Amino acid sequence: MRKRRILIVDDEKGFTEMLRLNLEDTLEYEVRTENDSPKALAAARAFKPDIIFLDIIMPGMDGGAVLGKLREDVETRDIPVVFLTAIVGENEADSLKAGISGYPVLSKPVSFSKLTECIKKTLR
Amino acid sequence: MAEEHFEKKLRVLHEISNELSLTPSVHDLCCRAVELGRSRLGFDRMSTWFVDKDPKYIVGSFGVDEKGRIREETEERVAIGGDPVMKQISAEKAHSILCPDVPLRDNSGKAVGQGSHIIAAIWNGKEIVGYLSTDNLLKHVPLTEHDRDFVELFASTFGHLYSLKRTEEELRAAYDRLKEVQDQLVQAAKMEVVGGLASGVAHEVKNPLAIILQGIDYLAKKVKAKDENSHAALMRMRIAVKKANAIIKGLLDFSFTTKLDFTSQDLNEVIEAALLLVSYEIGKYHIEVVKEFKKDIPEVKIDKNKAEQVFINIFLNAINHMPKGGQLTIRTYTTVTDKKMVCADIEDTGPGIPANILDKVFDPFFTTRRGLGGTGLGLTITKSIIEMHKGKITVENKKDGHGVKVSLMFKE
Ligand SMILES: Nc1ncnc2c1ncn2[C@@H]1O[C@H](COP(=O)(O)OP(=O)(O)OP(=O)(O)O)[C@@H](O)[C@H]1O
Ligand SMILES: [Mg+2]
Repeated sequence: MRKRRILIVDDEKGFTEMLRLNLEDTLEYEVRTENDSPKALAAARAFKPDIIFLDIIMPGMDGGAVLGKLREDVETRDIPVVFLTAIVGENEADSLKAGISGYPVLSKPVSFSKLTECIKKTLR
Repeated sequence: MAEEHFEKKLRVLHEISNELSLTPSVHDLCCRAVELGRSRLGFDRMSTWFVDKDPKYIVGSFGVDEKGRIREETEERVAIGGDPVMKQISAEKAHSILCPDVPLRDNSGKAVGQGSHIIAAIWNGKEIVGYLSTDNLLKHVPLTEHDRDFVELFASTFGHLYSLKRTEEELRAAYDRLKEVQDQLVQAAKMEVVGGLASGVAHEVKNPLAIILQGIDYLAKKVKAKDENSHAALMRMRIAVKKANAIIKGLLDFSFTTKLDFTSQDLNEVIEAALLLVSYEIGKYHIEVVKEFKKDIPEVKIDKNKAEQVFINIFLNAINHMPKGGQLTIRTYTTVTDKKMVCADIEDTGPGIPANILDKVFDPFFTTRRGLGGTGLGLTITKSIIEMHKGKITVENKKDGHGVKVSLMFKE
């Protein structure tokens, strides 16, 4: 069985790299990280992840918009998405309300055990 | 002789006006004026009436009777036409009139004697603001043209002072209103800045915290299980991250107090909802909750979530200070002093707050529970929310010396 694939989209490279280190260390997952929304969409199509972690506030296209594009595309439509964000402002709260509700949200800083718990639940 | 007498009276008038100019309010001025006018100018009775906004009426009389008792009827409002002399003064724009032989009436209009009687217009230099009347009900000494002159002078001195004090009071009230509005604007502006700053900073800080936490979790897997010191170090780091995150959350809560969603709420229900949210802590620390709620309490216009947060913060403070159990008493009631207020008192049976820190508890980041997860923002946020509701909060030690009493007031 191939390893479960995880795509992490966050404009903070330090964070995506740290997550990759942790997740790959388990030997259970294949991880790809993107720090830019358009590239993330391309990666979603090419890499075919089993789960996508998506930041909300990003320069250019925010997480809500990325989700919209993912849902428009038949190739990526069914990939589970989890928001992983520093919910800090009404901006984020608003974009969550605007059509993204119903998706699980993890708030930064998140412990690794919470993160893996969420992955397991989503992939089950 | 007559000249000496005249001079003496002028001096008295001068002294009276000096004394009257020192009175702190319009009300005091009026009371003092009839009192001094009667006693120092040597009449038996003296009283004043003031012209209403509608000049056909007079209101708010102050008087001092033949025994020196001051009477004050600020609510009374009568048509000016009821008194022919006043009516004449008003019509002719006269300054004063001496009536040599008329029935003298008491306050209720009943004739109590016969004699002479002076009515003078209270001029402020521009217009008649009221009327002053005086007589010698007891002495039976007829009033003279001299007396009329003095009463007229006295009335106009008084009139100027009266207008001055009124203007002063109106100015002061306007200033207070302005100050209040300005304070609110400044506060709102500050909150706006704090809000913007807080969410900016929060975002910038939460990301590094997220990286640190993931790093700690990574290292924890790499450190050998028996390397206790390293694990202890990592645990401390984890706690530090949590703490930093709690502070950021507090700051954000604080800044979000700018936007409130006001709805009519039953304060008792809000309290019940807040209690439910701390039921875990109440159970864990064996807190006995005593509710003394006023039934059918008038609704208040508040932001429900924020008000709940207020009560949660106060409850948690109380519970935090009763780790071995105790009593949490919540009382709701209404007051009518000043304005109609709906109030809640929250009392605990903890150790109370040392006097030297009592005035610091609302300061941002002030906490005596730093090692125990306190951020010192709880009461800061609480106060800010209450102020956004134009309510009031006080924190004090209970009179019996055992525990703290927090009082909240919301406008009805
Ligand atoms: N019921 C109470 N009894 C005794 N001391 C209190 C009580 N409520 C508040 N205090 C004092 O006031 C301080 C400030 O309270 P505040 O709620 O602002 O912060 P905190 O409770 O220390 O931290 P946090 O609210 O973040 O948990 C407390 O640290 C404590 O010293
Ligand atoms: Mg507190």
